Amino acid sequence: MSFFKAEGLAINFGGIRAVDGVSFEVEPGEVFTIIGPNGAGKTTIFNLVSRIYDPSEGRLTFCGEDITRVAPHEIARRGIARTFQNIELFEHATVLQNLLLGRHAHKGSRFLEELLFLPRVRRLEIEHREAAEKVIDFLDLQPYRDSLIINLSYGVRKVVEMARALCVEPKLLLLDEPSSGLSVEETESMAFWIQDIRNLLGITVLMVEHDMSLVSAVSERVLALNYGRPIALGTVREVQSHPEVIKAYLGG
Amino acid sequence: MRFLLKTSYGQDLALFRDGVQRNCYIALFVALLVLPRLVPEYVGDLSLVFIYGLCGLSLMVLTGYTGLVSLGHAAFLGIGAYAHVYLSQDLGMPWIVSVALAVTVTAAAGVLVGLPALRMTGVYLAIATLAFALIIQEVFTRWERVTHGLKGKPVQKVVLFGLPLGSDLSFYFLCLALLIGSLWLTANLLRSATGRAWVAIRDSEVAAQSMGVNLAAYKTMAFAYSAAVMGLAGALFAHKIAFLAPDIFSVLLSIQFLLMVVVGGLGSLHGAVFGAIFVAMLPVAISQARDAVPGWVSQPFAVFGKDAGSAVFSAVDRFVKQPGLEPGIFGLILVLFILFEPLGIYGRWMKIKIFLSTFPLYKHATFRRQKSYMRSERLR
Amino acid sequence: MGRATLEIILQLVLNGLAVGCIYGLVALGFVLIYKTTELVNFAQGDFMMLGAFTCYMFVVWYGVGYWPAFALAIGAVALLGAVLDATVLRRVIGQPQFAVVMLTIGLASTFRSFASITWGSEIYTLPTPFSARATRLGNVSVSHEYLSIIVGTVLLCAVLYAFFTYTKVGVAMQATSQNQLAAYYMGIPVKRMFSLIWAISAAVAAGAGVLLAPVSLIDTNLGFIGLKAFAAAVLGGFGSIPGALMGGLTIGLIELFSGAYLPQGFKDVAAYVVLLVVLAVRPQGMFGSVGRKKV
Repeated sequence: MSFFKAEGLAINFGGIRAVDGVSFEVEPGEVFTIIGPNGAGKTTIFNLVSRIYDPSEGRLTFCGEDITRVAPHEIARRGIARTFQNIELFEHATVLQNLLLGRHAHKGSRFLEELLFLPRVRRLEIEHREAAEKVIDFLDLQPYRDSLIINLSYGVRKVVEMARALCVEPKLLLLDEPSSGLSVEETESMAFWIQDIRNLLGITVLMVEHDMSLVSAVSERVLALNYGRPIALGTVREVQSHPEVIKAYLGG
Repeated sequence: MRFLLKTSYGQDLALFRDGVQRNCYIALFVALLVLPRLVPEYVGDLSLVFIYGLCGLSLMVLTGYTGLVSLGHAAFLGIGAYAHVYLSQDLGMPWIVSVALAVTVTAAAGVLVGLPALRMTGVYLAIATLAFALIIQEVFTRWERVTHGLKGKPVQKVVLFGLPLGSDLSFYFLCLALLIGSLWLTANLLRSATGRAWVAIRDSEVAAQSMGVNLAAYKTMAFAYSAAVMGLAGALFAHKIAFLAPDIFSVLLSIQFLLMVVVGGLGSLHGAVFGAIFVAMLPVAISQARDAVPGWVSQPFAVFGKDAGSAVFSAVDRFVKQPGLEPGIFGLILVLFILFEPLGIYGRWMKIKIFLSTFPLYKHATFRRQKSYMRSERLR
Repeated sequence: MGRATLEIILQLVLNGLAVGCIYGLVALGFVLIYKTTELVNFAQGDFMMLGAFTCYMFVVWYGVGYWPAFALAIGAVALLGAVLDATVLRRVIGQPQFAVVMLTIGLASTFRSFASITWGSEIYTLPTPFSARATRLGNVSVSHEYLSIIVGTVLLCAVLYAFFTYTKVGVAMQATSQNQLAAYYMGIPVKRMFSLIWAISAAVAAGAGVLLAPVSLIDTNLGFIGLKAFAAAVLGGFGSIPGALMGGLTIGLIELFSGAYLPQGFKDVAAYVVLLVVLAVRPQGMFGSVGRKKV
């Protein structure tokens, strides 16, 4: 049983084939990165996996189950969480409230129970809070716990975005350009965190990234895309030295 | 500055931040119990404030928390009112059963509006609710068997468990009890997963979905709950105004409810109550002003002689007594609040509290809004 | 028997088209504002009402001729639209849509109040050069008032089309509607464009009001037609100008025919039912496109 597999993924937007025949497999416990120039379809693949878009062709399989046509809100429950390229946090809520929302997939309480705030609901809320606090400790977000998102800097927001995804307790974490907009030091911290996520939390990471130093620091395997089509798949060194990749993306 | 020492997670879950806040609310409650003794002539008006509080609560849940703008909420008030009166008077059901059924019917209507709303965003939804309200108003007018149409329908006094609660005083306590109950239930929802999901839907639907929030289910729940509370308000409203007619549940009333939410402050229960007080007391304030303003304005002109003074008096009096003035004042207040106080009364109160608590370190930019210019940012 | 039915149908079609033109014009104004500024103007119907009242005022109170009064009414309301944008609406650029919706609703209420204070709350009729005149085509009576509406609408649309396609200002406005920031960088005075578009929309609505006045009687509730014009705009697709007109004509026809063939009360809500059906089944209407946030 494969952990995560994409087979022959393709999607058309009007006349444009944004993703064309993309196939790859992700092994459990690895960090798999997708690279490519802008417009290559990387984030589109993420949107296909988290079911924001429906593919025109192809299949997605996760832990042996076909998730190609599953409803978008089912994905978190099955153990896939993601971050967004342009930060989709809940701006008018605090960091803690954002993280608690990440626990929604493990909700456990029903509407009528919540209406009366039964002791069971209280107990569940405290459990969720404890889980969120673990993530806060993991990512050193303690000073920002009660701050509203609109008052936070971009770098902190990126970390909160990742924290929220971790609160889902995913088996597979999709990180969309985790280092974009970050300074060199912040990118280094990000590299350590991604490694910790894989080593300490045992979460598999599927990443889209432009920063090749981050890619080579944390990834095991890389898939290179160009115009929606895969052009190279292999270890970091194999892909980095692949002639087509150099021509399309890395420059010679 | 007062610091809050947190010692347990339960503290963050609690309804009141600390003992001090809880005691303040207890004191408020006692004051409300005693109030009818102090100002017996305002008991009727205060009951209306409580009913409007329910209306504000309803709209606050839908628009303030979930971000679904409804321009036709008066329709739900009407559905609740007519359903309750029909069930209790024409079909002779006991009061509690009738109210419960009216609430259910209104919630069902809410679901009916909510279902197509799942495919609509922002302004389209607002327009759809407006269209719905206008259609419902027409239904009230045409469905004569149930509503007596334009002839109107008189409403009898409340009879609860066989006890007549006809007096203003008992109605006051009934409304107060139901308002407090609804506030408690709503606060419970808002501090648990459902409330968080609602806020998530308002701020970013895509992210909410990716975190496991079933958009369709929660939007429908928001509509259903909001309509249910409105249905309860409708039942009480029917008793309060004692005579139902279709033109009461007009677009103007819906706009008054929106005014409540905007003036009170979006996204807070306090805002709903502040807004309700404001909107319920506004007509009272306007009619008192109508009597007082001509006098004030003509006072300075009396210097120029008695004729000038009385001429100004009658001119201002004629202007102020016009019936078309009231909606204009509502509109103007709405405009002024949006322009100058977008966070509403509760927002202003928060700003004042933060100012006082962080003095002299208050930063003027604490509440500055982020403006967005690019087209794509404003698409939701 | 068949001939009489044909005449009835032709009469309904004519009246429906005329009413539809009015809805189309008001919807046109909505769409113009929405395309350029992404705001939805709930006060559009009240611009129409103010136009009708202003024209009435000039004709009946001040004895000005019909045509000069028409021009003055359009000019006055256009000025109001521009001033409104410059003073009030400019401050809410960038605020969430909810705030702007509320703002225009508040303004609509204020306008209605202003109208009832200035002109009283009775119902008025506007005497025009085409009142009570009609031509007969066979057995169908073509009232000149209805004809003036259709002709007026066609002329107005032609003028607008020429303006947007062939003048610099028109093209600049199209640019502004697509990307404000880029328009700024290109040296387009975006804020002035906004005021201009509000002036044009208000003028179009006012024109519709004056054209409608002889047919419908003037009173402060005229603004509610704006709600039906919403249905027209949505039916046509909220971002499409020809769509707005098509939507208006369709709604006009649907209304007239439901009034004739359906039980009482359906005529009043026909537009709203169409609106709900369109929003539920095909939100982009006939010609519009659905936008989506890119994540």
